[in-house]
Amino acid sequence: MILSARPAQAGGPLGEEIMTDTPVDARRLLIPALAPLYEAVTPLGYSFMRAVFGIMLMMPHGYEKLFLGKPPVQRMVALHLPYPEVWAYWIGSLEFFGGALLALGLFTRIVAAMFTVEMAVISFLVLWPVYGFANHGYEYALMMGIFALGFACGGGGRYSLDRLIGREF
Amino acid sequence: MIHEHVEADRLYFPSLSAIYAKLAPFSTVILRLGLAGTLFTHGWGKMVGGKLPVETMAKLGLPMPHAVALFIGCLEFFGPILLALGLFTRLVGAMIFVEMMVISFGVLYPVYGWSDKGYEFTLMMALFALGLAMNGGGRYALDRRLKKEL
Repeated sequence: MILSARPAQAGGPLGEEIMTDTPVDARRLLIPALAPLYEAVTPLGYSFMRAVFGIMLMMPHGYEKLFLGKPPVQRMVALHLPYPEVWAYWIGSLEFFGGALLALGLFTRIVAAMFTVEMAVISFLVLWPVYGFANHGYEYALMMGIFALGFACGGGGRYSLDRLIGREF
Repeated sequence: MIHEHVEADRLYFPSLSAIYAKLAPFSTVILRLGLAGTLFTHGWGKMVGGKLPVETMAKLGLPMPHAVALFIGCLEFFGPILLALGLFTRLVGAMIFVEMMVISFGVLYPVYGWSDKGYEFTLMMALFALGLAMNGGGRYALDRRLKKEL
């Protein structure tokens, strides 16, 4: 039986929800009056960041690559990739549709892992050799790559389609 | 909020459950470090590299532009250190949110517009700082280790 070969659960018993950021303990707070506020916003924070990342990556960057006629073909040629046009449209699609998926929290880990690779390539192979660090440079691409890695580790979080559907990668 | 414990029967590949459970608590750490690293380069430039934004503050019509510029420099220098440690995460996140919103809409947007040296990345930093302020530092944060939390 495949099901019986499940690994030992890392946390408590099956079905018990253990979350990193749940306990807002009023007794621990320097300003206990803030507890209700913290309790209200804590579940939202992670999904909010995920949505921001997806929307801000998808709308400006993927959109202009796909629909405003700016596929980064020259960049792909400079990277010596075969079929640079295919690569350019693939990257545009990844940013546009992948950004939408990330914003919705669908296939979060897979999409975020792809973004991590994309941003690592942009940071270290495209921007770094030309611009260096903080000058029009790769700091922001690197930041986005690190954020993507964070989402790949965390998954969809509380408010995501992954969570809603009940099945996820 | 991240679900640290992913039930195996939710996964298409149940055997990944143990790995996911190990990785999940690092998510918030990584997000904190991503924001902190970028901010710190700017704080470093302002405090150590001698690029205090006094002119920019004067243009915003702020009183005592030098003092405000020094405050912004300190926020971008020490704020990321606190963020990386996960100490006072919510307060630092909220302060950086306000700072970056002002930079986005008060300084960069009127001059540069959206993309290309524009406010998209400062806005992104603002919103991630807000997200961290909402979320808190997560499991691996000094906030969680100390007896009291702000």
